[in-house]
Amino acid sequence: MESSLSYALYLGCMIANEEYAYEMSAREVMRELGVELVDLEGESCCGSPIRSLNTKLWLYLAARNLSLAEKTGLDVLCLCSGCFESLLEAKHFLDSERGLKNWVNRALALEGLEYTGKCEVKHLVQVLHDDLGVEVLRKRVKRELKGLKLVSHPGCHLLRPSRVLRADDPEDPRKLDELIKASGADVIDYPEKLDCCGAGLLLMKPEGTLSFAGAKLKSLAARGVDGLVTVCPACHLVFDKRQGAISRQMGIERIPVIYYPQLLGLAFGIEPEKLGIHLNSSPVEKILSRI
Amino acid sequence: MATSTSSSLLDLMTLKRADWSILVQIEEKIGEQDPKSCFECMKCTSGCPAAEFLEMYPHSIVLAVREGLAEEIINSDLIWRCAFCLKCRERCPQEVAPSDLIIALRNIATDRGIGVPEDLNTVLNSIMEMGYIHPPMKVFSRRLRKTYTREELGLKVMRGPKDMDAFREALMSAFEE
Repeated sequence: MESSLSYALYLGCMIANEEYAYEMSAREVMRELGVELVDLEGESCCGSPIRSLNTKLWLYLAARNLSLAEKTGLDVLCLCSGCFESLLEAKHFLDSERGLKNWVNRALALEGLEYTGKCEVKHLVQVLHDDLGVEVLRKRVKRELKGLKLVSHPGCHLLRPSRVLRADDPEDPRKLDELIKASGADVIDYPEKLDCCGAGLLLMKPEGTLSFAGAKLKSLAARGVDGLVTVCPACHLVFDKRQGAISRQMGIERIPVIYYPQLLGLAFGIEPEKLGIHLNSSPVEKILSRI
Repeated sequence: MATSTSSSLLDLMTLKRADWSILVQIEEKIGEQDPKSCFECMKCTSGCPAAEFLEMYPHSIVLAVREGLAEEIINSDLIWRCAFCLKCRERCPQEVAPSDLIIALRNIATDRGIGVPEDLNTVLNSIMEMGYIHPPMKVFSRRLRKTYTREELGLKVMRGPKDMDAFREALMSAFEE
C-alpha cells in the first residue's frame, strides 16, 4: 500500500443501477493505487433529479447521504459529477443557513441520522489529480498509451458553479487533461470542450439531449480524434450509449468513448474485462487495437 | 386576455397586468435566484446551449419575472427546456442564477400541478419506492452479445435505504415542514 488514503464511496443512482463499468474500473484503479474505498451502506439518490420538483426534497436527499458519509469519518468520493455538484451545493446551503441545518436535522432524526457538515466532498478527478498526484499515477503505468490522440469532456457539474465546487478552472479546465497525459496518451484542445452533453434534458426534452451531444460528437469526428474521455455516468451514457442513435441521425462517424479510470486501468495493464470495457457501446475496440 | 392556458410567447405579449406577489415565493425557494439584481448584460443568453429551443432567452426570462410576468412563464413549457449546465450561473457578474430562477419556477409549477414532465414524476415515485431513480438494470455487452447484472460483474448489490418506511416518513416531513 503506497498511499494511506481512504474515502467513503458514493455511487448515486446511475452508477449503482446502470453504468457499472465506471464503478468496476474506478475500483480496479483505486486498488492498484492503494486507495481504500468504504461503501456507503443505505445510500440513496442525491436528490439532483427532483430538485426541479421541490428543492426541499433535493436538499433532504443530499443531506441524508452526507450524514451517512459522516458516520464513516471519511471524506466522500463521488464518481458522478451530477451527484458531486448536488451534494456540494446542498452542503453550501446547509452550512451557510443555520435554519436550514436545523430543519434538515429534524427530518433526518426520523431516520436516525444527523448532518453536521464535517465531511468534504471530492470528485474522482480531484482525488486522482490533487490528493494522489499525476506523478503517482505515472509511476504505476506499465503500458504507455503512446500515439493515442484523445480529448477530455470535463462536463458541466465538475466545473460549475466554481464558487461552490472549486474543482478546476471553470473556463480553462486542465486537470482531466493532465490525468489523461499520465497514461502516455496525447490530449488535444477543442472549441466545444466546455459544452454540455445535454443529459439534463433526458427526462424533459430528450431530442434536446441528442442535439447537444450531436454537435459535440460531430466536431470531434471531423477532428479525427481517437477517443473522448468521460468522468460522469450521465455524460458517458449520452456520448456512449446514445451515440448510435445520434450518428445514425446526423450521419457522423462513430468515435470511442471511454471512462477515465478505464483508460488509466489499460495503462496500468489491467485486463479490459475487469474494467468493464465490454460494456461500452461505442467502438472502444479502436482504442484497444492501438495498445 | 389577462390569463391564458396556452403556452406560447403570445401570452406574454397580451398580458395586461403585472403581478409581483409571486416574486416573494420565488425568493423564498432555496437557490441563488435574484431577478432584481440583473443589469441586462446578456452573458447568460450568449452562452446558453438551450437558447435554440427557447422561445424566450434566459435574460428575458429574468427580466420578465422581475417585471411581474412570472405567471405566464410558469404556465409555459419554456421552463422545462433548461439542461442545468450552469454556464449562466457561472458567468453572471451580478450573481443572479437564471438556472436557479428556472428551478424556482419549476418548483412553483409543480406545486400547482402544471406541466410537470411525466418522466420526472416517475423518477420521484421510484425514489419514494426504492431510494433510487430506477431499479438495477441488466446491461448489455454489444461485443459479447450478453447481458449482465451487478453481481455477475462482481459488484455488490445496492439496496438503497435500509428502512424504507423511515426514509419515506423523513422525506415527507422535510417536504411538509
